[in-house]
Amino acid sequence: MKVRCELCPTECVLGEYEVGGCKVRINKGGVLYSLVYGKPCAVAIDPIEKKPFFHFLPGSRAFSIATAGCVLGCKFCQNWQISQARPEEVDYQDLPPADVVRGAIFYGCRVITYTYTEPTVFYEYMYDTALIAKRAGIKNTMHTCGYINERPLRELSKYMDAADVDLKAFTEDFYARICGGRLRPVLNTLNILKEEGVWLEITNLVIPTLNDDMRKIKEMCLWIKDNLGPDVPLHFSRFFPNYKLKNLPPTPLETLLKARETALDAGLRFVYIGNIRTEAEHTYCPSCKRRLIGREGYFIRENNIMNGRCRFCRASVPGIWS
Amino acid sequence: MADGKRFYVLIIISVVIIFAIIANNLFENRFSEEITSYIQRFYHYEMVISKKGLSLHRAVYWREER
Repeated sequence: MKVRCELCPTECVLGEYEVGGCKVRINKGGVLYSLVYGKPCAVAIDPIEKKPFFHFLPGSRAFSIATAGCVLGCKFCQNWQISQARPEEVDYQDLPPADVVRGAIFYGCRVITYTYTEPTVFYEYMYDTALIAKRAGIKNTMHTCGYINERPLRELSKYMDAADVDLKAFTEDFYARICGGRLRPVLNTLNILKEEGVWLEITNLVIPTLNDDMRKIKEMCLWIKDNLGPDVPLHFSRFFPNYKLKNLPPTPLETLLKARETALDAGLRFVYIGNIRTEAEHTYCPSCKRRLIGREGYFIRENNIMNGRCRFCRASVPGIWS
Repeated sequence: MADGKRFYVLIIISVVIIFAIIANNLFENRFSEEITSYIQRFYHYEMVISKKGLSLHRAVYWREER
């Protein structure tokens, strides 16, 4: 008997013993199963800034997990060794949801992050872990490509405190040619996360010649401002040649600075540049323009936010600060 | 073996081969690909996925396709 997986917009129809495009969901006996429940292939403790979350508990440690698999097949993937691998091709450890939470508590992590690969593929594992973590007073965050259907996303949002969504480009063509997906479902995800009250940050990897057109970047920023508000932090990330796009050069700093300027001009208030050290990795007060959070890479050097307000001018700064 | 008997055996073998070829031509596209693919998937699951220790956990959000 065939089954249709309704988790992501691809909605694979799977025959007996067939594995979905995500590589981790299989139909056996007419029932859909996850092959990676409690079997992460990557477990690490990272600074939350690495995700990147800049307005969510700065300086905190994030217990980060990932399993093999992904719902997309981006040609520039930085973690393709695990995201594009089948679960039987990678080493994993047995780590049930309760043990993830135990690990987070043991190592003093205030946050659990579902990251590295696409957490949608290990939805059941993430959901059960998030539920236990929430009860234990630990925050849940995810770094996602946003390629997930509405029903599972809304269900998950009850336990998710923050999400960093990769908005990879602002054209359907890019998503189709480079990622093997569609843009529309990602925009829907952003709207739903906003509606559900999940703290939202957006990352855009700027790839030379593919998505560095400033007109499109402006269009994207205006969409973010109009639909999600001007306070959603936007991270322009530097591309490095990887996986199937080794023929392209790293993103020039000028392009990133121009993209940031375009976003600020469009009305976004918190725009950062990542994967390269610049002044644009700090948070500035939108009111008095003084430096609120000074960063050095993933590390916090100064924090002038007190009770969610600028220490200098008392202006409110959007984010989850405690 | 007498010539008549040899001829008889030859006829039977020929008929079997001809029927096998016709059947293959007729049903190749209908069944063979599906069956081969199923066998490959079954084999991969039993010999690779199961042996790797990847247990099955019932997934949410699915519906039967007719």
